[in-house]
Amino acid sequence: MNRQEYLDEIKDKLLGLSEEDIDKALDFYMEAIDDRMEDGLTEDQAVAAVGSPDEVAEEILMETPLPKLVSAKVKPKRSLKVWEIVLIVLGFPVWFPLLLALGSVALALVITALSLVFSLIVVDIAWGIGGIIAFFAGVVGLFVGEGAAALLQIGLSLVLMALSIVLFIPCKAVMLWGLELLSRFVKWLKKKFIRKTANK
Amino acid sequence: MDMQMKRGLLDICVLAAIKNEDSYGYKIIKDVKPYLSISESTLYPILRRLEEAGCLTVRSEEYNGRLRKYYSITSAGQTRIKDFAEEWKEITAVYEYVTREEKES
Repeated sequence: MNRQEYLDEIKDKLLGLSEEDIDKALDFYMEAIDDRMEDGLTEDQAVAAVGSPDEVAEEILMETPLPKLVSAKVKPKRSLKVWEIVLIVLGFPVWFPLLLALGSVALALVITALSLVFSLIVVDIAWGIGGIIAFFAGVVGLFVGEGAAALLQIGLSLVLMALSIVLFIPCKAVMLWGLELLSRFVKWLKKKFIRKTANK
Repeated sequence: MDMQMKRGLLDICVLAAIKNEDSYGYKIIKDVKPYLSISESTLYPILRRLEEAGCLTVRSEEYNGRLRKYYSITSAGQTRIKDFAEEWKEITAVYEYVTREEKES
């Protein structure tokens, strides 16, 4: 493959990204090939040494934020033919609810996972606050003369506060783990997405 | 090597390659290669990431009748290297602990 074919192929695989991003990448790879040729490689060897266009495109796309990636890839690379537009419009009652359902399920899953974690933390904090309030109520009760009942309440409030402090550690761990899982999921999604569009 | 770890190390190695004097893509690759495997396709995203993070700046200069991009490190980039060296001290301590010889009792 010669230099121009190589650059054209990379450009093709990056289509959809902004013109500036593409030009920057092409400049970089052009320079890389020129430098290697100056070092004594032939054009073919230099192109081969820089890495395959698939590799190059995948590295760049993996570094691109997901929303930018989706909008770049979803944009059709050519204008749609009339029959395609007709099909899309006529098929709207079919594909739109399906797409909506799929998106809602995915969103619901993410929200459920996040709220589960969030509820854990809320419960933990509620215990802490409840403990503090019960403690003061118990102290007041002691002065008002409720004796044993007030002492019991103070004891229970201390247990609550202790539990809240101790349980905060696993709660935090679960939260961090959840966030890590989410970021891995996004990465995985990205990889699938890039692989699929790169094979087109 | 673990992928995540290699990614982090490559960032630092690229910064180290331009630490003392400005450099260009192919030279950075030649300088870093003895330590970590690196190619243009891995270097390019790293340079962009470091540029966006303000760790280096890029300028184009004419060389041999064509343009070549030169990268120079910023003070933020220097700080990154220093932080890494500090962190590494802790890691070395852990390494020594993990691989210590068993004492004969």
